[in-house]
Amino acid sequence: MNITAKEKFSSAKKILNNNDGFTFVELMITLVITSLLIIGISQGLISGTRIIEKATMYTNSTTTFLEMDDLVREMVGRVYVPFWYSEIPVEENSDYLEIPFYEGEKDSFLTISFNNSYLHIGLKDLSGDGAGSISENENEYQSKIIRSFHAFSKITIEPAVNSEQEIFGVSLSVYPMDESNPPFAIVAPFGSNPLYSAD
Amino acid sequence: MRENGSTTILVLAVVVILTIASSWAFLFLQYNTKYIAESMRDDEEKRLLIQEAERLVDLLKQDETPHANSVSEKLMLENSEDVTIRVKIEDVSSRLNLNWIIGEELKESGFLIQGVSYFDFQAFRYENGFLTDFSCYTDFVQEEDLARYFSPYNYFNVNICAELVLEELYVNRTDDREGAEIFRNDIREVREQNKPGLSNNIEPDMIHSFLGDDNYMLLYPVVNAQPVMNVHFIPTAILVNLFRYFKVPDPESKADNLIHLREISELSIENLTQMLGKRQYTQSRLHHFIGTITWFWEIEIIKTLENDNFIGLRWIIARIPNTENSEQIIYRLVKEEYFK
Repeated sequence: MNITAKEKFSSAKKILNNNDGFTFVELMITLVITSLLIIGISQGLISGTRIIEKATMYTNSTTTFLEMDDLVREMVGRVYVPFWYSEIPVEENSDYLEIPFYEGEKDSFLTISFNNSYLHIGLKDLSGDGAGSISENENEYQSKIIRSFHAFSKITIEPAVNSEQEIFGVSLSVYPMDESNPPFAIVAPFGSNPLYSAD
Repeated sequence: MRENGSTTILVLAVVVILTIASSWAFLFLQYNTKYIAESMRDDEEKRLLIQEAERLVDLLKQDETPHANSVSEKLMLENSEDVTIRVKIEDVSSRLNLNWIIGEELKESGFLIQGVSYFDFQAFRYENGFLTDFSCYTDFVQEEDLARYFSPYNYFNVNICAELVLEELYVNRTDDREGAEIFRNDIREVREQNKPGLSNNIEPDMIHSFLGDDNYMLLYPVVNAQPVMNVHFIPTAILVNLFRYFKVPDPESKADNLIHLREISELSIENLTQMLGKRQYTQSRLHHFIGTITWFWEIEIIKTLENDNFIGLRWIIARIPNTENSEQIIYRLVKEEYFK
């Protein structure tokens, strides 16, 4: 039997004009479907947020590490120790290193330090008119931090040495705050090294 | 019942906040991934540059004529099969060195500015110490001469360095002023035995016995007795000035001859003795200035990248003079620099 368009329209009109409420069963079904939809969407949103958070954290820590690695290598690479020196006079303890000959200047120092979960990379040189002169007075030196990185539970900073125990650069062992992440190492060579005895 | 659009505004606010947060996260992720990718690409490019530089150093080590480095050897090394890589090799040690030259000899070389006292030059050097950058010497040597004829990269030959320089170098390497004075006296004693036209030189095979075991350990190879410059790469002006100073007959034509010969062949110490004369070359200090080996090479490798960009590596390597026990060619890296 064919239903005409007119009949279809009149049936729809009837439904729309119907003032009766939903039955209890209809309401329950609607509630269940809506709840399932909300749960699904919220689960999706939560896991999506987690994924983004994880990806952001991962790439952020990778980028921080790479930026730190790049900067340490670049700055240490600008330490030019003349070849006629027999050794590199570095001042060090486990969380501080001071290296002369930054940009080839004897009185210009590259400083790398770890303090309160921060790694600081800085410079120390003779200030103002004293630049270029030789002075024993510590007060004439000016220090500035080039960049800081955080947050790390521990960083050991020491001169990098080769098999003959000759210093050729700087070595950092970096321990992330999250102990489930493994520590990583940065070994940055100086731009120029002394000619050690060739035995 | 309220039917206005407050709910829509709330939804809009949530949508805006979510959009901002997700855009931030997206941009942040994009920046980080781009940085990571660039960093990895840079590392790879640097690795390739180092590989190429190491290949060249290996070729230098395999030299079949280890007692001379010629122009053709340099040109051969500069040939690269890879069209994206340009290689430049330069002898950086065949120049005079303001860190060690005797003041009087700087004056005689003609490079000291007219009217300037060589005593002032020596005092300036004593005040400033040894330098890798000579740009502060412009009161003593013309700026263009500094670039052309002087280099901080050559060894301290015990026969041609100023005595005070050797004393200061000793202090620099040992922190022992007393030992440095004794060392200087030893050198003075040797030099006092010089006779006109006959120098009392310390030759390479005598350096160990002259220095003694302790000083040899402390000073070698920086202090040695090898000729500091390679005749194949010495600028003509230095060659002529040295020939004049050491009274080589007809210095200009001898220099012209050498320059012609070095372009087409590899010269040996015997060739130099024949051309310059035994008296003028081997019996004077001239043979400590001019030899046939390059001690410091600068290797520059430039790799062309996309969009006309490039990345480069510059190495300065030093050849270690042979010890008594070894004939092996050893190079050590003394300077490394990347540039873009």
